[in-house]
Amino acid sequence: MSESRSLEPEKKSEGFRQGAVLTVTMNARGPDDPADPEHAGELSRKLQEWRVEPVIPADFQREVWHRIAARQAEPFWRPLTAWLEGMAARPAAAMAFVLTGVAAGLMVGREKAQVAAVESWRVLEERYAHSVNPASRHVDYVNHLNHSVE
Amino acid sequence: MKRLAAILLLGLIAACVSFGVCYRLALAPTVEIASKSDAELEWLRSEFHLDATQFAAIQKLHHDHAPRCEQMYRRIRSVYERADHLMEASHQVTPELDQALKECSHLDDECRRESLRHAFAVAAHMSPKEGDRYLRLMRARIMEPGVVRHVAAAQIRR
Repeated sequence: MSESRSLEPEKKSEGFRQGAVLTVTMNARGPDDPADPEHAGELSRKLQEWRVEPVIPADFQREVWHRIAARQAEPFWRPLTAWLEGMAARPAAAMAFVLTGVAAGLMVGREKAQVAAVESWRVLEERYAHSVNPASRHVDYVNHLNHSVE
Repeated sequence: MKRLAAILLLGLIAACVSFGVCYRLALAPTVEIASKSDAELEWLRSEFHLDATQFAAIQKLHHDHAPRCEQMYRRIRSVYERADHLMEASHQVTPELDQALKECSHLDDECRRESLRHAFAVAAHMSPKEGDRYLRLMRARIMEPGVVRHVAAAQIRR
């Protein structure tokens, strides 16, 4: 039984093209059978002779500059949106975002309610003062007249 | 991108809903007091921690004082308006204007006396600590109503 496997490196990786192709023939009775001590030496010799010589493509430099130019032409928010999209794909991050929205809403709501409550409290106090002190009410009336003159 | 937009929208809705709920809940006690017919008395009850007996006594005092207060307000307004007309009519201190100014002063004094009398009566029904705080607030408002009208009861502590 004979099995043939082709070990081919990636065709193109970050601009480098690796042209070396190694074909190893696995044959239980063949000369490259590692279990066969007679042929182990031959396999070792072949492996030692094997050299990978990366071939830099002719347009490598141009392509690098092209990529740099393309990156620079991208809008400045693109990395941010890309990061957000990446985060949105993770359920935990999405849940954290929603919970942050809830927490922010609670905090702002509480703060605004306190401000509104203080103002309402001040108005009620004013009303009480007017109800027991006619002079206070009169001062308000005079202030109202002054404002209308202005 | 759609997923991101959906999550942003969901977060925004969650924030708005939690804001609304928190705002309404936190403001509910104040809104409840302000919506009552005797809101100013309810404010007094809440601000000075009055129990039912104290509140009933003070409420009676308040309702007894209200007609006198209203009558005095009308008198004050009438006298001040007369003085104002006289000042407009003549740029001199005429005997009529002099008389009107005296009436203004007299009414101011009477008003202070009446209001202080009422404030002392109200404070007498409160606990000593709260009564003292109430009087500090009212003294300021009665003696110089135009100056300290912005002073809040919450600012007068101990």
